[in-house]
Amino acid sequence: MENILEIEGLNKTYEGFSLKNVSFSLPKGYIMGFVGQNGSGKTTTIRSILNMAKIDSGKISVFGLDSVTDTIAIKERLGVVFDSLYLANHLNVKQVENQLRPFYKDWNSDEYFRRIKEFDLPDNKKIGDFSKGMKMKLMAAVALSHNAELIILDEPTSGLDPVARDELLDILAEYIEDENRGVLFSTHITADVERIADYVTILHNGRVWFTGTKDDLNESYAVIKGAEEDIPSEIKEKCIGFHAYRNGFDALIETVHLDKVPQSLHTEKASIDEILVYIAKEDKRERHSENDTV
Amino acid sequence: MKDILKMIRFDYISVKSHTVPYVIGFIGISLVLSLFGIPLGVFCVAAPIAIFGPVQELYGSDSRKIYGILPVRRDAVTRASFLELTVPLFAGELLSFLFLLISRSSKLYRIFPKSIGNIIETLFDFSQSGMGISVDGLYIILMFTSAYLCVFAAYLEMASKIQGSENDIRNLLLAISLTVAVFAVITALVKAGILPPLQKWPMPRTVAGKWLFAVILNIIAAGVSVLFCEITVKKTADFEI
Repeated sequence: MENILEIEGLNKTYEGFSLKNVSFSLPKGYIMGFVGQNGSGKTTTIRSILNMAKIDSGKISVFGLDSVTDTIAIKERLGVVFDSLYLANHLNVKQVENQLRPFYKDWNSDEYFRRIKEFDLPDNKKIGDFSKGMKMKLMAAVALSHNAELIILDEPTSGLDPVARDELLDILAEYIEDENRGVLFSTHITADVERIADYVTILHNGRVWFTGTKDDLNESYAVIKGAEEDIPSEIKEKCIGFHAYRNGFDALIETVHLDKVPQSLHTEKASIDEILVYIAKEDKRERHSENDTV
Repeated sequence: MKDILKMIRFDYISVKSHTVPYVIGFIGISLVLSLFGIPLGVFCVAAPIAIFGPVQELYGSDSRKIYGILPVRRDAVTRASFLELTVPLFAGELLSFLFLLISRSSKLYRIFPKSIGNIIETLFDFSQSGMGISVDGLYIILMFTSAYLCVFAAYLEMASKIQGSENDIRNLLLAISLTVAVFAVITALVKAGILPPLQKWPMPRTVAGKWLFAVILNIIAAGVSVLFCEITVKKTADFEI
């Protein structure tokens, strides 16, 4: 499988935060959900891909090209959707088209206006007066009009109402029907990832906690619940985000350890949301039991 | 160069409806007044710079983000922003020269009643030093103003790009203070008799000589602007967006 995006050993340090040895890849024809808590490093990683942040070490390849030396060639073939518009607010969609057209060799004005119509975006309204959902659709229309082979979206669905979120996800699902394309979208709304992502990368405290297919993630982790006295100590040690309370406990565990889990404990499939929560709990080493302290 | 032109076009589309009609209106009024002998057009020396003036403000806090998204070299973005300052300034200087020339030659004010015509003639008859400034003096002031504005604007652009736009007001005040200080020193030197008065400064006497002087002055101003631009390109090459 040919990768459309590859990140190897990315390191980037800011005061009080660093990306540590971030590595993952996205094969052509797939959507990757890039998830993690606020401040986990998702936006810094995306800014590094776009060469907006200067990386300390590591290598980022997009379409097989180097993200630093070939940044212009990459951006020609890349669509970017940020959580806010980056254009002057008083312009309308026609003026935006006029403004952006010269930057892209493969710009297709007919496609742009077809998308504008398809997305029900008004011709003469100022883009600054667009709702957030409309702004996202406008940026998606721009990306689709220059035949972008990879679309990178940074928190595109946060702040969108459910209908607008659904529409945006439909647009991405349609876009990826062409198997030579790819989508990387960062979000902390894991329901969106559950719905359309093929691959998932979980970033936690600047490190990759998991990267792989969504199915692998679903099969790799489970939630166990039960009475605390029923859990063997060697299993307890392997628990992630162990949370004890008056009547029992719950925790995340890798499914490879499930065969050693006693029958008396209840296990269930872990959602991405639950995985994120348990990772955060593990970080805090939370214990809420009255007589259990860390 | 292609990238620079793309960026200028990009910015122009952003500012067009905000500034261009007003600048064109001012130039149009200046032209009409020039035809009636009123040299308001000398102020065109600074008018065209207003065309790209509000560009950063229009993009708001995301102004730098777009340069990370568009397929355009960062040095082209920087060079475009300097050209957006200097080219309108030089165009403004040419326009102000042109309007001054027209206001000197055109006698359309004679169509007004004699009393109004006389007022205009008295106020703006430079051959008689009606405003206390000779035409030559006015040309020289225009030349120096234009050259100075070019250097001033280029310095502010460099400072803004390198130190961040949050320091713009501080840098503006610094540049104005420096200007006032230079003027104060020159005035003091003239008053003290160390420097001759402006009218007696050695200037070329012939028309060709005056134009050559203007061209040299503009080349020096453009050179300083290019220097500031290249310093900015170098200093900001590794800046994060």
